[in-house]
Amino acid sequence: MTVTPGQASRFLAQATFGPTPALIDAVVRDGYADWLDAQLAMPPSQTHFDWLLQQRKNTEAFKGNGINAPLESTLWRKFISAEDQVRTRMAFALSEIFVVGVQSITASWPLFGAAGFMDLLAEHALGSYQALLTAVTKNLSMGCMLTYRGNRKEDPKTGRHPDENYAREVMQLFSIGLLMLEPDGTVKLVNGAPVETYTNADVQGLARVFTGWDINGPETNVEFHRRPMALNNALHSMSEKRFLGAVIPAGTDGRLSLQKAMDVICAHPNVGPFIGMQLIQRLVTSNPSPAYVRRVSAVFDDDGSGARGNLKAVLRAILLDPEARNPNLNNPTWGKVREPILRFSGWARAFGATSINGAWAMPDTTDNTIRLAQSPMRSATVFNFFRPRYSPPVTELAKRHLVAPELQITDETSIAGYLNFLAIYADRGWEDLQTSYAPEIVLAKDPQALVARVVLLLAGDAFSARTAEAIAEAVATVPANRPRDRVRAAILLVAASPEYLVQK
Amino acid sequence: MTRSHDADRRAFLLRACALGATGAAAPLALNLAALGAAAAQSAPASYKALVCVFLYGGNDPYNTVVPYDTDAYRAYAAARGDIGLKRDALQATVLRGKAPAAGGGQFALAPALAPLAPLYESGQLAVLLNVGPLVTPTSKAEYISARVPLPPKLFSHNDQQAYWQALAPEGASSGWAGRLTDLFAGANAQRTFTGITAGGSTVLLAGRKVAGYRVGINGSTSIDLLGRDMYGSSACTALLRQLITQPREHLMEREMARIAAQSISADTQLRAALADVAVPGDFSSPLAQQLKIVARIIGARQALGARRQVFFVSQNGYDNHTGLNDTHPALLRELGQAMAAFQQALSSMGVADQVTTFTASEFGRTLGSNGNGSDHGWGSHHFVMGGAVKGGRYYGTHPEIALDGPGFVDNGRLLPTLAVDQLGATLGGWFGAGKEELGMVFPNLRNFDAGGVGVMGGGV
Repeated sequence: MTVTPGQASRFLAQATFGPTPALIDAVVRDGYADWLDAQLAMPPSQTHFDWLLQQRKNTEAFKGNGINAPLESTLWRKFISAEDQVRTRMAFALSEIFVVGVQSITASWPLFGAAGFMDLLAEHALGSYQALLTAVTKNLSMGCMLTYRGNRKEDPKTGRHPDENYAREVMQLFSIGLLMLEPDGTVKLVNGAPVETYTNADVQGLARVFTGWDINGPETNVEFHRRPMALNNALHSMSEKRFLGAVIPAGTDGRLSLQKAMDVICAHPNVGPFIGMQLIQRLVTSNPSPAYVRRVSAVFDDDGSGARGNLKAVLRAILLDPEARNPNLNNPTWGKVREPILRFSGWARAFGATSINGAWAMPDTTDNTIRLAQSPMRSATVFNFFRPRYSPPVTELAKRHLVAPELQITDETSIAGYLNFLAIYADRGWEDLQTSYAPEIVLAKDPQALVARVVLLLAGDAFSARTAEAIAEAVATVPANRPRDRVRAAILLVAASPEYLVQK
Repeated sequence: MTRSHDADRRAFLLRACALGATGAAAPLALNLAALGAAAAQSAPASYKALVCVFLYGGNDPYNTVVPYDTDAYRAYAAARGDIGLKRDALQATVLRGKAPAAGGGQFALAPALAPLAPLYESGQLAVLLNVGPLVTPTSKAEYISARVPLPPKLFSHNDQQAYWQALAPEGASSGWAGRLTDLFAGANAQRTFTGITAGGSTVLLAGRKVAGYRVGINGSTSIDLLGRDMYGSSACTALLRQLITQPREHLMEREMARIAAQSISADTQLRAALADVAVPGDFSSPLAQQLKIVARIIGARQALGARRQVFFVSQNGYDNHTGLNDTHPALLRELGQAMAAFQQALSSMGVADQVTTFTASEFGRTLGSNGNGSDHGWGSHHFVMGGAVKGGRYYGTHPEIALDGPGFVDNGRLLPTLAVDQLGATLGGWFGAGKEELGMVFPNLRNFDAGGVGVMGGGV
């Protein structure tokens, strides 16, 4: 089956941080599956942690919170330039499910904590879900984010109970969700009513599991951020732990209790549809058909060799699914709003913007009036920048019970803020992140050809000829002797269009 | 001078009578539609606004409004352990109001809320004890046996945030304030400026036709590119405007285009309306900055043609599972200062009686400690502030303090005795909605014989 450049571009928007001319050629040449398998076989590229060490950011100057700017540098560096794009993109998708915000890391050098957490997600992104969840659970940054580092066993004398934060959110957000699901992701109904997956008693029982864990090693150098938390069994609850129908008997130590809890959670039938649905939403479309979700959750349950939770197989199933590859591009509900981080990375990759001095001086892009209203590893809460089931009120989407998660951060302010930021970076890059626009300038004398290239790189085959023609006509009104301005105008107009802003 | 509240009230009663034809059995949506049409015919002359201050994360009620009388404090200190506030520190903020709490209890504000104590004494602030999501009055036995319907997804942040704002869990398509303002569609020259959020995305303000309008702390944000010719080309700028605003077939594109169009038109109007509106006072904290832009927009109400508005502001950080005693006082200090400064500004603007501010939060927290914090709870204590508030009083009741007492479930979580519906209906009644209308905006209200909370005086 041949793949057109437009189709390849659209595929790369789902699988990477944005198409490049070279990758479009590669996908056209190799086909989707072979190109993807080569990516999936790649080992992780240099970690964020090692890059920060190499840049000597492990000094006293970066020990406190609030001075985390180098975190942006390394995150965007890999988004824009890493060779292992699929793994890096999957790690980013996972960072919006297993959410850590750098501001919540209550240990020295929080930037190393956040960087190490993203590395951990990349390390496990193509491995087993249970290994990933276990590593996340033992990670210090998550222990800070959900406040269970230093969590102590109950004390009947004072009435003190273990911190319930992680016990609740590991179930609600990282594994099974609140309601029992069918394998196709729809809510299971019993006697016409949804069934909640757990009660407060399950949370209280599971909370005992996450006691006794804390920072592993002194805060004299940054390496403690890479080590799993250490267990102090003296602080671990040795009582019976009941949750989700399972019982961990009294007297079970912390290590075994954690392992058993992971076994129970990961075996829950909701995990496949719950995690699979969200990965589809992060990569491909906000409202996948139940059949698409069912195909993906079946692969989660069994990768074909009997293994459960094989994330590489799940990712492959998501990206190569017929619904992802050959959707009806005229379907008015297909696709997803391109989240702002991916708009910026997409621009940089499409037009070869890269750091001219290796510094990657990217800003915190959280501001919503002149930035992106979103910045990686800076979600304010564990609920991510937007919720997977968000449906914008008072819209046709809501009327049809459809969701559009990214619209939760799209409002009268942020919509202007994105355009204001775009107007800056498309015009003159950002600090040391620069591009010459050389291949586009060559085309500037022919506005139609110029716009066709910009559309191919930003939106693939999902952009109307009519809009492209209108943009070419407008670009032609910029004098031909200012080819760079023609390029900038073409990029601005395409990247501002709702047709581009919704990834198909 | 504007018409009196009574005149407004009569107009709404007449309107409610005019609606009798639709009948109680008509579907909710149909009834609301009819009400909206009726409302359009009788726009109120006076200005009123509600301001919701949402405390994201779940505020700890026990370190906000603290039992102070000797017996209750002793039980409090025993149950709270190391996270309880010290009684000595509470002397300056003991609430001295117009009436004791039901049952005679005495309470103090957290020391960090000191700026609110004078407002309580002067009758501009009321304390609501133990309010939270309820479908129907619920006893502990009924909770345990699930014999009565319970609000879905209790203890879950996002769902209980939605419940406080919409009386339904996450995914709700309209909020109670949005439904309330639907009744006053004719009161404002423009629907855009009816529900305004300076505190982020919220379902609270979403009605049948319009969702909340988002502003920043300086008001609206302009699209810079539209203010000049793009690379010298007016054709490019004109096309940009067209591309980002023209209606689209794709439903997500359509919504983005709608927001962009609203962003542009509202920016022009709001910028002009706010140009000469200054608000005095110290509004430096993030919450205060949000309240300042709210005050400025209230100051611009005539230029905006607004008579009924609801505003949403928010403060993050209340999910204090850990470090409660380090984090929480600073949050409350910001809250108390911001609310007091806001009320002061409203007074100086002459609209203290026309604006009612209330706090909300997804849930209270556990009475017991987890070592240095508290966990997700249910009922909580809240404030209602304003010149029209029947303040200096407590509303609701506080149970005997004991982790396993009859007023607490699941080991130390307050079982609410006042429902969000009751609080909302009281505010809605003051806003001008009639009894029948309130019953449609607040679906559980009919389950509560007591009706509203009474904090605004009058019937509800």
